[in-house]
This record gives sequence, structure tokens and C-alpha cells, in this order.
Amino acid sequence: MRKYGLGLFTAVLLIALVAAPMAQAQVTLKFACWDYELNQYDKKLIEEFERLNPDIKVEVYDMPASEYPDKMLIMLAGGEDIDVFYAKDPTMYGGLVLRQQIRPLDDLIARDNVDLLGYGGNLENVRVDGTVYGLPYRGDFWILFYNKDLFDRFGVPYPTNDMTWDEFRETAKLLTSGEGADKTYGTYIHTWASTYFVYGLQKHMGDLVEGPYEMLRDGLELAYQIQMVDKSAADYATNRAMGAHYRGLFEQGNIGMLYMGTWYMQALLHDAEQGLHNVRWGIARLPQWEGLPHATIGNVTPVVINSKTKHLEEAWRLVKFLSGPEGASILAENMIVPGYFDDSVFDTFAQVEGFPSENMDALVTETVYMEWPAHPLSGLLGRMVEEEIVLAMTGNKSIDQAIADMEVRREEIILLNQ
Amino acid sequence: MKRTTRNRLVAYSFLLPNFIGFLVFTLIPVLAALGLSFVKWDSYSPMQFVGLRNFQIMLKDSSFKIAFWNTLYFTGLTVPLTIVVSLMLALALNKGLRSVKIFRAIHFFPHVASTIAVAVVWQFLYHPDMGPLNQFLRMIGITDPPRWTASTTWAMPAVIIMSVWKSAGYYMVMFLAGLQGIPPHLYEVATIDGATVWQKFRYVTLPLLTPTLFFVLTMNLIYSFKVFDQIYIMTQGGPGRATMVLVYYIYMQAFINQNFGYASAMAAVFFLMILGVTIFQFRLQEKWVTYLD
Repeated sequence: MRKYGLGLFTAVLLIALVAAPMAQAQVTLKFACWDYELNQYDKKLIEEFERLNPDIKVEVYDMPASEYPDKMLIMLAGGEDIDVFYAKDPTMYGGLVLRQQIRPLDDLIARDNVDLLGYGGNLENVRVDGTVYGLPYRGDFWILFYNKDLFDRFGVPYPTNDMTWDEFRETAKLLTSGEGADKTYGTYIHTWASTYFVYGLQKHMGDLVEGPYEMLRDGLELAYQIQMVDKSAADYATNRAMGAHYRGLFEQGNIGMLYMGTWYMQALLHDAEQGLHNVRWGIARLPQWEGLPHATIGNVTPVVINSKTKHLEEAWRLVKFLSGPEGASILAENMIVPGYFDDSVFDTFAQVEGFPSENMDALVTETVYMEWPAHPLSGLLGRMVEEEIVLAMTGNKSIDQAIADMEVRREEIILLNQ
Repeated sequence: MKRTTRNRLVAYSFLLPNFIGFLVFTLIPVLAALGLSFVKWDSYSPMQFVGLRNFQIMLKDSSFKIAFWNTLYFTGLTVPLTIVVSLMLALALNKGLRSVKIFRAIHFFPHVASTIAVAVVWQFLYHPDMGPLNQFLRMIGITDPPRWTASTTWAMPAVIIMSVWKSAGYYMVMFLAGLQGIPPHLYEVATIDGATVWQKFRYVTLPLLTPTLFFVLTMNLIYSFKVFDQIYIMTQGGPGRATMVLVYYIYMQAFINQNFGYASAMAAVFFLMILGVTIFQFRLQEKWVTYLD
């Protein structure tokens, strides 16, 4: 018995010696994002990362897109040790920076000599007071999607890259007809507040934190006229009550034009692959205001590191991968506009089956304004602006009154949050 | 150890499990929230003691004022309406017939269904153009029916109607129990004395139902003050701030804006409000509630 005992002891010791470093070698990173299973492209990124980095295992927290910012904030507040995650929008990013929930990356960028040129203007939008807290993973901006079949049916020429909002309104009228199941609408204006303020931001009168809300007037007027007077789009209240979603509506094939972010390209291709629609779609630049230079509105999605992470080196490797050239090429193959953008991205897009490569120029941008600046009050002001826009669009308040009230309420919010 | 001491210890040991639960899950969080109302805290960075500043902000915050009045508006209409509807249902269904039991079950059903699911369904019912409710109203000749949840005027009534529908069945059961408790001989005496149906209700039923009425009133008031689910699903406090109520605003400040201090301060005020109303009710109870000896 003693003999066996010693042998057994030796065997256990040997196994322990061999197994211990192996077990230690693999680090598990916790990573959070939205619609991981639904969209698949983040899954491809993570799988590729794990293949290239066998010493790191990534545990994914998948959340629905609409709940992501709130849920993420609650999880972080509860001390959940997520290492790497996306800041879905500038408001969320600004809040994370303000509360020091994410780690500044400048020292790591300098140490590893990270090439920042590929980020172009996107880099400015992740810099807060001179410090970079996250690297741009995606760099989406608004463009115009249109349904070629519907334009052909009504004999209307396709939208061009220099279309004005007045032309947009007139075109929408031409594409509206029918009743019931045959009903076609010139356009669909989604129920986000941003869909109603992109027009205002194009006027380059400043951002929604500091600029005058007067900038919103023409755009709100336009949306109101299209919905309530021309009736070439369903009105806000109807869309809201039905929980309408641009994706399903455009893909049903009875919406002529849809101004939306570049993120929709991926969904359109994905849904076509799944056999959910057969809309022949094209893209053009976001329409512009007569007499003003072209500009569009963008939304950079930074990938960030929790300031409380216990695996900084591994987390940083994941961030570099997701936001760097390797991540960008996988994103481009999936029709996502990456934050890191070079000619190879265009080349990759052109090869994607189903992408209207003849419209490639629509993706060339000169000026991209941010939806919201990464400012501590963005969240509060965003909610306030949305409330007032809803009141104006549902006819509960005149547009003049809504704009005047926005100014008053901004003063109040600034005063109360000093 | 003295016998009485030992007995007392045994008694306390039986109470202990429950008391620990109460301490950990109720008392400590409530006291912590009270403490939080004097700080500025986003749950991440260090707390900052700000004294009474959160309460001063409340006085200047137009959203708080709106939420405060909206809560009173909601409660002021929901409570009397629910009581009237559930009492009428109880009176109508206070018979021993088998078919009546089915109706009781039907009216109780909304209470069993989840508020979230029910609110989603009502959202469709209220749709300004395609909703069945407005289609019906147009059919009977109302050309311009209310736009319900899309209108600042009608959004709150829409939520109130749904809430009354949802809870009337529950309080109906309370009233039914109360009605069953009234001794039948009192009605027999009243009939012999030649009382009319109305007189029997006014002088026999109603006075003897006051203990139930008191209970229903208290519970319903507290539930109405706490209204949240319906608002969260149907209107998110909108359009604008037309249905912004206190609990929703507290939730928003705490979990959306991460202003835990300010949210706690509002919760403290809210607690005092409910406490005040409840104490007032108990005081008033002596004046109008009749107990049968």
C-alpha cells in the first residue's frame, strides 16, 4: 500500500506540474457587445481573434442592441468585471469617460507605436480633452438608401449624390401612391430623435449641446410637411405606436427612399441572403441643403477597456485587433464601415456580392459631424431634445414652441447639473 | 437563566430568520437610500457629500414638478374610478348562481395577466389610426377620436383607463368578500321595514362595507402612487413629459442618468408623501369606517 501511495503521489505531482502552467496560460477575457448572434460579424471577429491568440479565451456577453447602453451601465455600476466592450454611441462614451470607467489608452498607443493614420477624422471623435479612451471600431455615417424597383416602376430617376432636401421631398411625393396592400410611400422617417435632427446638424451651426436649436427648424418643418401634409411617409405617432422598424419596412419593398446609417448595408445583405427580401437597392449620399456644402452625420463606435480590468495586456490585444487593420478587413467583408478606413476597405466592399458597387461614391465623405459630442450632459440633453421633437411631430406643440422650449430646458439642465 | 428570559430568547430565535431577511432586504436598503439622498454619486466615482443640494435641485427641476403633478393626476382619477367600477361589478356579481362565477373569473383575469403583456396589447388598441378602439369610435360617428397615447391631453387618461381595467377585478373580489360578510338578517329586517333597494344599499350595505372600502382605498392609493410598468411600456413618460410620473422619473435619474443621489432624494420625498397620505387615512378612518360588533 505504501509503495502504491508513493507512486500515486508522484503521478499526481507530475500531472499538477504539467497542468498548472497550461491552465494558467489561458486567460479568459469578458467581452460585451450587442446582437452578437443576430449579426454574426462580431462573432467572426472574436473567432478569428481566438484563433490568432490561443492563449486568450473570450467570454461574450450578448445583449439586444436597444437595451445595450442601459444594461451595460447597470452591469458596470454593479461591479461586473467586463474587460472589453463597445461604447455604442458618443453619449455612452462621454459618460464612461466622465465616470472614469474606461482606461486612457495613450500610453499603450505610444508604447506599441499604433498606426493612427487609418482612423482619419474618427480619431478626433474619441479624443476627450486630448486623451484617447477608446479606438474607433466602427465609423458609421448617414447615407440615402433607395429601392430601384420602385423608382423604375414610377419612372423616376434614381437619387444622385448632390440631391437636395427639397428634391428629396418632391421625389418622395412622386413615389407615393395606392391604398392598403398596394400602398407605397416615398420615404420612411424612423422614430429615433437623430432621424429628425440630422438635417439640423448638416447646417454646421454647432452641436446639440452648445449650438442654437434654431438649426433644427428647417429639418423639423421638412419632416412635418412630408408626414402630415404630403403624406408621403407614415407619421411619427403611427410608427411609434406600431413599433415600426426601418429594416422590415424597407425590405417589404414599398418604401422608396430611406435615409439611414451605413450600418444598414450589412443588414440588407444579410436579410437578402436569408431570403427575407429581394429589394434591388442603391445608395447615394445623404441629401443636402441647397447652397450649403455637403456634410453627413456620423457615429463612431469606440472599443474600450474597463479601468478595473485585471487582464490589461490581453484586453489591449483584443482592442488593437478589433479596431485595427485585421478587424477592419473582416468588418469590410461583412459590409460594415470600420473605424479604420483605407482603400482596401473600398476594394473589399466592391467584391461583396449584392453590394451596389456602381454607387461606391456615396461612401466618400468630406465632412462628418457627430450626432452628439462626448459631453457629460449629452444624455440628459438628448432625452430633452427627443421629448420636444416628439411633441412637435405629433402635433402637440408647434415647431417654434418646441425650439423655444428646448432652449429654456437646456438652461435648466445646465443649471441643475453644475 | 430565568425562565422568562429563556422563553423570550426562544421567541426571538423564531423571529430571527424573518428579521434578518427584513433587515438585509428592506431596512438597510431603505436607510442607505436615505443616506444617498445627501450625496452626489454615479455609482462609480467616489461619493460627494452635497448636503441638501439634491432637495434644492428638486424645487427647481421642472421635470420633477411635472412628474409630481402627473402622479397626483393619475392617482386622483384612478383610485375613485377603480373603486366605483369594482364595487359595481361586485354588486352585480354577488349572487350564488353558477354562471355568475364564470363572470367573476372573467373580470378577475386581467389581474392575473402580466402588466407588461397587457400594456403592450393596449398600446395596439390605442393606436390612433389603426387601433380597434378608434376604429370603433369612428364607426359610431366620432370623426375625430382622441389620439390617445400620441396626444399630450389623452395619454394620461389612456393609461388610467387601462389601469382601472387591469385592477378592477382584483378589488371586485375584495368587495365580494366584504358583501358576503354582511349578515342576511339585516336585509330581512330592512325589507320588513319597507326599505327600497337604494335605501338598503345606502343604510345597510355601504356602512357595513366601509372596512373593505378602507382597505381597498389604502392599497389602491399606494399602488397608484407607485405606477410604473404601464408607463414604461406604453408611453415612456411621453409624449413629451405628459405621462412622466414620479417612479418613472426616479428610475430615469437613477439608471439612465446615473444620478443615484438625486434619485434617492426624490425617493425619500416620495416615501414621505405616501407615509403622509396613509397616516392621514388612518386618522380619518375613525370618522367613517363602521365595524360590526
